[in-house]
Amino acid sequence: MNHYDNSNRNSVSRRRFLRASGLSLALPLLPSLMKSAGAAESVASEPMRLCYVYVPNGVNMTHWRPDGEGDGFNFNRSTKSLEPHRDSLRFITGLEHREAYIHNDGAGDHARAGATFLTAARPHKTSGTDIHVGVSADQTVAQAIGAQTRLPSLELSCDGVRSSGECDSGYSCAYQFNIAWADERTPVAPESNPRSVFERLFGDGSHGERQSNYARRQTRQESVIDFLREETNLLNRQMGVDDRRKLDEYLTGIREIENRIEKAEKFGPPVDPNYPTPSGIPESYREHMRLMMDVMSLALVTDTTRVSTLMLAHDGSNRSFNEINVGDGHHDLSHHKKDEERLEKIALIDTFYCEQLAYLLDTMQSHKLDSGTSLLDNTLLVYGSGISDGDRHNHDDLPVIFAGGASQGIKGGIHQRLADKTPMANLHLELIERMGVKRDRFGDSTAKLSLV
Amino acid sequence: MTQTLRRLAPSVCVFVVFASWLGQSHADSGFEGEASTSHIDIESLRQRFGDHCFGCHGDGGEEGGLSFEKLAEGGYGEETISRWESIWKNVRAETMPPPDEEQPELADRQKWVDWIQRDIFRLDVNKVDPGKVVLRRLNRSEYTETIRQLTDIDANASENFPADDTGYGFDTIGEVLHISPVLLEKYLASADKIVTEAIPISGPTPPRQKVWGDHFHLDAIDGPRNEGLKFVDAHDLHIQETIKNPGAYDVEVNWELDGAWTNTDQAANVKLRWHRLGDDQKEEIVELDSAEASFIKQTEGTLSGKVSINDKPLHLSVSFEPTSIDTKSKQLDNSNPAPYTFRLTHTEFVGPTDGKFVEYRSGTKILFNGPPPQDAGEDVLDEMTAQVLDRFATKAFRRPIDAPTLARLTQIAKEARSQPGMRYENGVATALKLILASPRFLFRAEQPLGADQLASIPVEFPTSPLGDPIDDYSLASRVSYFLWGGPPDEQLMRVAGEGKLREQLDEQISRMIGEEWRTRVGVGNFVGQWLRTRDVHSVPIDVRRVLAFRGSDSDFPWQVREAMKQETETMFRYLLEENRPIAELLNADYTFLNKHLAKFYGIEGVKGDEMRKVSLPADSHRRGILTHGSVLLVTSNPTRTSPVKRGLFILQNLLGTPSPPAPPNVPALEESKKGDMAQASLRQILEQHRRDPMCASCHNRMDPLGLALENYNAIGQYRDQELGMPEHRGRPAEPDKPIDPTGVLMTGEKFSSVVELADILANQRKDDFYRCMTEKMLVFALGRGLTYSDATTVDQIIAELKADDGRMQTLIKAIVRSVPFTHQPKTESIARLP
Repeated sequence: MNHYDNSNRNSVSRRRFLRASGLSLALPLLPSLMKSAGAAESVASEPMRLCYVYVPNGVNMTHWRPDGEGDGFNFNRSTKSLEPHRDSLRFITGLEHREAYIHNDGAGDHARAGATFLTAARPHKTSGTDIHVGVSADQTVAQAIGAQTRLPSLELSCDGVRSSGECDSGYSCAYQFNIAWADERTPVAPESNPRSVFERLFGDGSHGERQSNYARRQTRQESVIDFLREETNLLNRQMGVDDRRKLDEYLTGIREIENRIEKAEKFGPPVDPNYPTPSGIPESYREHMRLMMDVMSLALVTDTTRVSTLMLAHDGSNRSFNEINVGDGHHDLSHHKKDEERLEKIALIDTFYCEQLAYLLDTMQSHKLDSGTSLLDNTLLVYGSGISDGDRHNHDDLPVIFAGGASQGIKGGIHQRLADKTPMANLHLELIERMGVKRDRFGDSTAKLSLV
Repeated sequence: MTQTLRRLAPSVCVFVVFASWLGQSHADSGFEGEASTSHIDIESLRQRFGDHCFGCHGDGGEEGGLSFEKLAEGGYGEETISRWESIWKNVRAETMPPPDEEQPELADRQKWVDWIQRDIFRLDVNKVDPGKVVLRRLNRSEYTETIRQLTDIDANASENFPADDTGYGFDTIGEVLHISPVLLEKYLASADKIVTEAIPISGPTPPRQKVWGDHFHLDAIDGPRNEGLKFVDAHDLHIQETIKNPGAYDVEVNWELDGAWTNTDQAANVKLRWHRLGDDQKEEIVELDSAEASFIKQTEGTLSGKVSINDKPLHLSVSFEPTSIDTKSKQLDNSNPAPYTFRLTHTEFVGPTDGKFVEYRSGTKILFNGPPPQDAGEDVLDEMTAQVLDRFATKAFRRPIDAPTLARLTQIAKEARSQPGMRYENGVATALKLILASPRFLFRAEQPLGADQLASIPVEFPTSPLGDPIDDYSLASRVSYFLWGGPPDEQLMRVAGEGKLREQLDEQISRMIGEEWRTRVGVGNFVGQWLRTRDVHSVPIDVRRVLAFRGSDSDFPWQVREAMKQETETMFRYLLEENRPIAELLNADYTFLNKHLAKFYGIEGVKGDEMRKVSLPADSHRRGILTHGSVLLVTSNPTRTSPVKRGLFILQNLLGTPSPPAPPNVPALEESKKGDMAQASLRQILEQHRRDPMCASCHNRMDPLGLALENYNAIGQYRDQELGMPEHRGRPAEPDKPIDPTGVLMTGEKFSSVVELADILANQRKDDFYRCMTEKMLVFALGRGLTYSDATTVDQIIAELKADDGRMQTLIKAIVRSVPFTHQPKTESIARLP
């Protein structure tokens, strides 16, 4: 199941990047080049990766919650497919997102569940004016270490088509469809088409052509930057404050492209994975999720980025599941009113989602890095939902699984039962620090959550 | 009044500059700074509201989180103004006082509303705040349409770009239309791809003349016209054409086999021949090309060759010799009319190929001044480049491009074409790509009207000292993206350039509405989101479960879904084109059907794939959009109807009824669908639910409306029984349950069917509908949410609507003339576009 070409295994390392760049571009020996070459020699350990996977609408905890605590736990039926990965994962129960609760904001728990999941901040209730939440954990890390990789971060979603009309109870759709936030007002929109993601990461065309296509694209981009910057400045002079913010977003994009071009000089051409370019969004939801997981793993193993988020679906998603013969909408079912049949169907959906997580863990496990350890060992991965029980819309007792991190000595094979209502922000804070970023607080954190 | 204001213009300006400076200090509080929010005399409130409201909301009562005493003391802090907004909305919508309490006279309600607007909100019809629309970028639909108008290329942005965030139910909201780095990259890549497809980068080619297959004659030039042959006998097909410019030509004769999906081994040898007339007028036959036309090997192809043409007509023929052995028997075996046919589709004459005459095969709308002459010098190329870019950029930026930028782009084009291997078209392409990636293309930047033009604003246009009128180009874009979902066309641009758009606005709008294909796009955008017809194809449905395993997916094919979407959008366009009353949306006794949808609805006598207007009989179950399949479908769950969603849909999108404050915590429903409830209908389950007062406050409003639509299943078919599911894994079969569509609105009106409900909405609740639709359309058109300060604008539009039977074009025109649509807020002095 390893899609990545093993014979080409070494090409994923930084050293190999540099060698490749030296061969193909014959760059002058820039100081930046020397610096990173030096860094690559001296640092024996692989860089850590951070990855968040969001699953919507809560779960049926009865069949989800592990049986027993500590290292003596047993997998419950919904998570059974994860059993082969027992040693590289742990269940963390007792986490809470306090800011997702109603406070004085009325209905809208799905919007809040998604918006708080990585920000641990309360979204300002609005349909569009003054969108405001917090910087998300992944972006906090990306903003600090993003310069070290070709892309600061990668945002993915498996929601192909969005429904029209208003979103959850007076909250803008921005809260429900984005979990990554670059700043309090700016969501980072995820991509759902695996083909465009792949081509953006590695270049278009088939294996063997991508490096040159990628380089050509960058040359084209480089040629337009100056003009576009001048155009923006020209327009900027005529704009008020709010409008300038929009133009700033445009300029940020321009800067990002420039950064990438600079990085190409530093890192050389991207790795060209021996993996077929995906052909768009597949009919089957399972295939879609797996393709996205493949592409995400490739991005991480090639060190194209070290930070990624994947929304399997937005919170409140009413998708139905033909693959497992559950025709009802997920959101509709999640309001189970304790009906046995509905609860059973939710458990089937939870099982289905866990199987996809198992696939992701398989994939990450099979990607070996230079050090001989696996991608999973060098990744801090969190899988979870911002709601516990879809009927009660409660944001405590969240279903959360942590996986990976072996290279930092994080042990798997346990059910870590926390004190009730431990802020999820504590977990974020811990992971932010483990990614090498110093923060005293994050969202409503009260302490770091020890993973030892 | 407006005249006076305009004469005062200079002093008004001074005042505004001063005011906006003062405004800085409390800029953060936005509109709240304008309204009176504290220190209201409680006694005056008691006099005004005491009799009807203080029982629950005064004298110590704070039901639903509202106490007038606390409100008067400013005890709600920052929430004060939103409390007043909610009082104002509930009073107006007659949802307060509750229906079981004594109701105030309508005139008293109006007095309350007026008082709140005047004394609390401090609204003044002569000082309408135009509100701030944050710089809007083109959303995916607008981008696709704009590119189509510019280049005829389908950019398919909805597939290629990340989804747009939406606000207030629409994707036109400037504030939430972000540009992420990923999106910017997509814009660059898209510009590249579009330009490469839109113009012939490799340069012009010799002219092509195309004639269709019916120019061929059987066996001789003067034989009968014939383009197809059976695989029976050998024949020739002849063509003779007079070609204008003599010289060397390439000819291409295209053929295909009809019935190519069949398995027959029929085959024939075909040859292309040129009947060349020598100088001695003798015909010499030159064989140019040959092929085997065979159902097994080759079912289509091109016969080609080189000929030289003089002043005589060109004579070609195609010879056809069947080679299959049992040709006749196979032909006879087949009872269907002749599926096996060799057919000539079309012929092209390309030339003269010596390069004297060249033309562009595509992109002539952009490269309108043709290929440059072969001997063109740099100056000529520059001049032609500038002409192309001037026209293109003006369309793309929706206003004339400034000279410095044009010069810069021309220079960039020149540099690009000077690179080795590059030509004129490469240069132009380089500049076009920049235009399509420019923020001036991607954003809809607006400009105030020049001071010298203020006097030209016609008197019927409301003005406001709080805003600057936008210039004609900005207005042209606002109107065209509102009605067409795309950029202004040449005529709008011309009228805007002449500074006469306001003067001619009514006739321009009428003209625009008449442009059917562009209007389809605009209506698709608005109705697609307001009534959610955009979701009709994507909403997941499990047909078997909807039909309780008494039907299958084939009962609900995509043709029916498509027709449902068309039904609603066509209805809307009909009201627009015919300027009908908008209330007909709710209770029209006609609808739009094709054969698929009519069959699905069980309506007889409708033929064909085209949607057509169909009158509904008096006893029909269908009346207005509430009974449109589209609405019924998108408000359902995948396996069943959802009265709650349907009710909410009506409240939110048709009545605009405000939602009451939500309970502090939505409790878990302890009562399960067990025991007695297992046999309960959906109505009974919901009634159970509403017994909990926590739930009742919202569900009393939603559920009766949704339950009225229970006669229609989740895919919009009429039914009088709720189908019970069959026995399954030990769970006993559920009985079918009769449906009871009767109910009472929050405002007290009783109805016994959806048809009656539709009539109530269209008559007694007409004002609510007018307001709701006006607000939805304003949000969509303005690209921002509404605040209480828009109340005067909405009131004025509704007044115009009422004065004219609520006609659709009246609504559109009133929106377009309104202060928020035609103005931008006063700003500190900003530079004008060069």
